[in-house]
Amino acid sequence: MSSQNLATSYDSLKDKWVDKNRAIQKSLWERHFDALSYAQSKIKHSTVSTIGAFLLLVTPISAAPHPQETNVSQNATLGAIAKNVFIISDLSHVLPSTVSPLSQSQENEVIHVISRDYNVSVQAQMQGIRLNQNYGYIGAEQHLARYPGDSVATHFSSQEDMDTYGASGMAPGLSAWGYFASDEADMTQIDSDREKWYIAVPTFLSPGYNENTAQYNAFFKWRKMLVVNPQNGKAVVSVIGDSGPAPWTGKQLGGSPELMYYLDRVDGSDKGPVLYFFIDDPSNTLPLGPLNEK
Amino acid sequence: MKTYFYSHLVHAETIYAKLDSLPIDTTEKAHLQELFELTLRNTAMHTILDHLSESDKKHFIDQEAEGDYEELWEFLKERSIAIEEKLRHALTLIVKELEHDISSLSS
Repeated sequence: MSSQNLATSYDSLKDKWVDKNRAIQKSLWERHFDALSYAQSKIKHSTVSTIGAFLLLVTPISAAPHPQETNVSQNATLGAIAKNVFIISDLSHVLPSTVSPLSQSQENEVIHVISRDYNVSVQAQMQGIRLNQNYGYIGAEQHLARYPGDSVATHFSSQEDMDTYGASGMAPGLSAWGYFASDEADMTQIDSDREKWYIAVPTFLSPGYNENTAQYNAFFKWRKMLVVNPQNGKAVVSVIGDSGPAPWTGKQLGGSPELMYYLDRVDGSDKGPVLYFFIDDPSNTLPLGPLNEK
Repeated sequence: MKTYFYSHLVHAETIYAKLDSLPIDTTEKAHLQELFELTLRNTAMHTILDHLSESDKKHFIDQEAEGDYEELWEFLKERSIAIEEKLRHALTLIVKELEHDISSLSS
């Protein structure tokens, strides 16, 4: 067998077995929705390494409607669940058992899984630049001032958003890139979305940063990234809006209040990991925000 | 292979031997082993849940999570006649199917 045939054999067997699993899982969810939904509490705090083993007990859609609603909504829910279950399953096969930097082979496999399952082209390295890691604990950041004078009182477009995200408060300083817009009148939807879905990554820890600071900062500023919670399959198209956190915090990146809320990630003792990769979107067509809802 | 409540019903040596014989790298082999084990688990869960009432399903899930398989089997045998044989049959079929998948690679 040639090396090309061997590679094809692996892919062929893998694809066939993934398809079998998907068929069984789909049938399981269709026939035992209540029991499997009940089981979600059993693994709520499972680690990534145990999710593969407990896959059947995962309900990745936290706001899943009850199946006694219409058949259409149930089918939509099952479809969404199935999609996320596959993503969780695929990632669980390649992620390390502890939250740590990915090896080259793990990184390649994760990129392959994400690009395939989300249909978004992601990369760990672009233009010769990469972050210090792409898998780490995310902490909660505060809202950033978008323009001079922006405050909690002016920050939200609805009372509901104010009620949900207002308690996070405003960061005392500006983003690493300064304001998002020069003043309120000049602020665009893109500026607002950038702040809403920003992440903070330790740009200063990127290999080569100290020797090429200006070039690296230009690259990182508003750089689009896909942030994925590997434990529930939720993903957000984000931008690098700030630099941090410090290594001593035990967290590898930070997320805006809205991003943390959507990904079901929290700070403190219940902190959890995310994957984060550059998005290859040269024509800038991918909107910011939750990926699964588009 | 991790131990599950159904592990004593599975004869997977042939599968592992076949996977070992494939000239693929260790990462690929580990991935296929995980897929195999996941398929067994999905099949086992499906078979068991198919034979239980809604309330018994939840009890089973609780017991399975706790990992007390002796107590779990007592419960299953009490609630469903010949459940162990039914599960053995289901697992045997899926193992044969997966073995065939590997064998068909060379054809």
